[in-house]
Amino acid sequence: MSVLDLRERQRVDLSEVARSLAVPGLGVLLFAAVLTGLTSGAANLATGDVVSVLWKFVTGRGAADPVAHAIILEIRMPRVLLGGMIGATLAVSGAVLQALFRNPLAEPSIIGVSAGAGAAAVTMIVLGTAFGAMGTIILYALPVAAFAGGFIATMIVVAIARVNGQTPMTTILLSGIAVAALGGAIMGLMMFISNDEQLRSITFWMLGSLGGATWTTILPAIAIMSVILLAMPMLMHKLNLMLLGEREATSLGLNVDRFKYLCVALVAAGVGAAVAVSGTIGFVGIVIPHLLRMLVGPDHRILLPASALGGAALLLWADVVARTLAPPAELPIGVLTALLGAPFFLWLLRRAAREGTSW
Amino acid sequence: MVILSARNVDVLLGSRQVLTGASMEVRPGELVAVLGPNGAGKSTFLNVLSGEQKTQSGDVRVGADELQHLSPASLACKRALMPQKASLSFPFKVRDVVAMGRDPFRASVDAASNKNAVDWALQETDILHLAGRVYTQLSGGEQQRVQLARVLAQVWRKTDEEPRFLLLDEPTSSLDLAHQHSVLHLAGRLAEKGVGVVAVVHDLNLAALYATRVVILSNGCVVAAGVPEDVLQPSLIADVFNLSVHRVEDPDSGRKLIVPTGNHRRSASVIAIRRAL
Amino acid sequence: MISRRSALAGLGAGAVFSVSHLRSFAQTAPSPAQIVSVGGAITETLFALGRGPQLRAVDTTSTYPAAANALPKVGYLRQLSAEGILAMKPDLVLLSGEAGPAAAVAHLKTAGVALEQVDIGRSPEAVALMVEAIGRATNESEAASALAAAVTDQFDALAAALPTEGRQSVLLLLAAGNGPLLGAGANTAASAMINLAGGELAFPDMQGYKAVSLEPVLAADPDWIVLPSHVAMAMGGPKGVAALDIVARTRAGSEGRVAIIDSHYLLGFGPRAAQAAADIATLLYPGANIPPLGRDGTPSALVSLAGA
Repeated sequence: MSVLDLRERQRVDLSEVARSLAVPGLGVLLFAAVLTGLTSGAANLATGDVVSVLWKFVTGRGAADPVAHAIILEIRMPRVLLGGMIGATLAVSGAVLQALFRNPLAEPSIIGVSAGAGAAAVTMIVLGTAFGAMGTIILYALPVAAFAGGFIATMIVVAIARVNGQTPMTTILLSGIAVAALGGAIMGLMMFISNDEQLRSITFWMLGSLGGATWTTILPAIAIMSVILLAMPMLMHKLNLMLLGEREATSLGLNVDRFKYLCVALVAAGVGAAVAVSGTIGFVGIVIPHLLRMLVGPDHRILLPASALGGAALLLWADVVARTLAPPAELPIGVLTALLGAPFFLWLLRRAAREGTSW
Repeated sequence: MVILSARNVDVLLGSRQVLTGASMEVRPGELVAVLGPNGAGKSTFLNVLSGEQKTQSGDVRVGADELQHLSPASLACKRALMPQKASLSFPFKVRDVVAMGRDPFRASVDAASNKNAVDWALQETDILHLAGRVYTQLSGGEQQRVQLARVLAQVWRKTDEEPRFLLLDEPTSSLDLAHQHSVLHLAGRLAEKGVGVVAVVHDLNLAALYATRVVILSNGCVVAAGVPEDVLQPSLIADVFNLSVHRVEDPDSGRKLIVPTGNHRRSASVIAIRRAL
Repeated sequence: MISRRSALAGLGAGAVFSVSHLRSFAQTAPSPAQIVSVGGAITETLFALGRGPQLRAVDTTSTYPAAANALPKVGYLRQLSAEGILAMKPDLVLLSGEAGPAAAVAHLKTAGVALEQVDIGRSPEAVALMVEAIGRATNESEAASALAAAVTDQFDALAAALPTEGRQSVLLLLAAGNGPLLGAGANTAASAMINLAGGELAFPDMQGYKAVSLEPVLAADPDWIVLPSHVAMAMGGPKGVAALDIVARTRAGSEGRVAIIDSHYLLGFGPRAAQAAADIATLLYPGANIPPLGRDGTPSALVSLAGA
């Protein structure tokens, strides 16, 4: 065996190692992120306080400082849970769409869900004061409106793209662009007629934040996001088939059109729920799946769970930074993920252009 | 016996009539070669037999079931199709690609049997040594053999299961000479094992050497069907393929091989005009 | 004076109770030792009531008096951090009605902290009500009544001194970030203040803050242009303001009738609201006899661009 063969063997072995370590490794990273998320924040809590609160939560015994209790269990814990679920949902949704479009530049906003959710949310902020005070609207009515808006926008995108019983991905892409433009126009119009207070609310909502996490507000969203995450085992194999090619996938038994609708519906629901409670958080859906695909390969049996773990970890770490960089102010998390993601996105494009491939 | 058949099929693609009144049958145990010049409708005919292409009229069925009434999942358990051009451009491992051929049977067949199917397919296509390699780093010919292994894995069956059909659209296009013959030889062996094989090929001699039957398509119509010896006559070949040939007997197998004579016949359009008048 | 320790112990017990009767909780509790105040007008009132030393932290809109600036901050009025507030371990949190986001307020309520939401309005009555509400919450009802009465007297004195004819029209400008200039229409803090100063709006039919371009402003021909200080700073100070089209090419601008007023003083509707209105009235009606209202002659919070 020549030296070259040996070296290629080693390279292949390394990627084997990466493949087998990815999921457990990311699991550890996520665990660390959760711990950090629970122990960091604007309030400098003594480690002893944190430990006693967690101990009491787990075992029900011991006493804990009520303020620390409130901060950890009422503020940080729902936030960490929400952040993890959103990160996982966005990353998995990105992976699914990248497989459907056979393009690593695809991400959840392509199917119009973010634009629809945004338009609905902004409209609710501006016109919803007829239904009650701004505060209650933002907390309760807005997530419902945003979710509905996201879903409706996606349905419009798919309906427009459906021609002769088929829904080609390029047409979905184009109609997604059109619907996103329409959503943007609606947002602009609403912003124009809004007053000062509404405009401020709109701006902060669009920048994205996990600060709205209370136990009551997150539970419906988490329930909806769980659907796509629980569907992962079913999606894994079928997404692999889609990468073979739509013809090959069909001849291997996959009802391709129905599968596309299912995936789009799952993504619309999951991302819609995420956007509804936390505003627009970008780039997690494109950065994580792409990065992990470079490490572990295109096999979705590893890529999907890895994306879920990686997305959750990334968002939680970003949220820790958002909360601790300039306390007590919180940086909008959408800003952080964009700061992280935009340079990476540009690097991706350059690499794709240079190598002539997109993977 | 389960037969895959198309009767009197018309196919209209856009405004072009691609197939007219085309009929054909495949039985388990046969290797049927579909031949014809470019644009004759061979790939379309194959797609009709696989259930992928809808017909404007005619009857396409496998056994008693009409293909258009079968779900993709149940079709996948009855037949495998290898398209002309593979569109896989992702760095899967070869073994994983071949294993995807067993996906229709993930739930119905045990994991050990599925693995046996994959191993068998890798062996038959002579790519066992490539199993750990990355698909996108292989040569065109090697990739084609991987795709072939995949459809092979799909038609693998345990002894008590129904026979399956294997549809191959120009499976030798990127292969070197030796592999062209080994693929057709493999197709023949599969037929002997009980698979019904339909292959679109360009090389008349490959058909002559390995096929049980041949079907000749020209301008969307079946102009001849039968054993190669009977069908592959110089006059028919001259008409359909616009090539002057004569036949030579292969000393080993006794089969008749086709050899071009070197005389060019009149152009096809002249022949068509003559026929029309 | 109750020791901090036992107040905290009391808070710990109170943490497990429902928070639906916060108002009575605040009334029956002894004078709170540590207060967090969110809202410039509220902070100002607390200082005016003598509760300044007990302020633990404030929000970023609490800029008056100077001592407030030195206090730790818990974030911007509409983007508070519940954790930041809770970390201060306050005995009482006073929140302006505009405080947000709603989730942060919800978190504070769930945490069981003694919370009082005080509405800040745009009329003399509203200012008095606000002062009295804060007085009740901090057990300074007497001082609060006195302050409220004083403020009401100031407003009355001002109203009496305003001329009945020849009302001056005022255009108040805001900027939304880096966007276009917005003019103040009806139903805004700005319109309330302008009316209290005896002026009228340049665009009386406009509702809320809307983008204004040069043409309609030239057509409306306001007598005075007023800018809150934070907007003027964003435009580049007095020089930048003078260079604006809307300022340079209007009659008011070329005649130097442009005023830059401290934002919080102008629009905050705190205890100094009457003084702010009087300052504006002095500019609008130099001939009228507007009472000084307790400030020392020259309004230091005011910068008018004369001859700019």
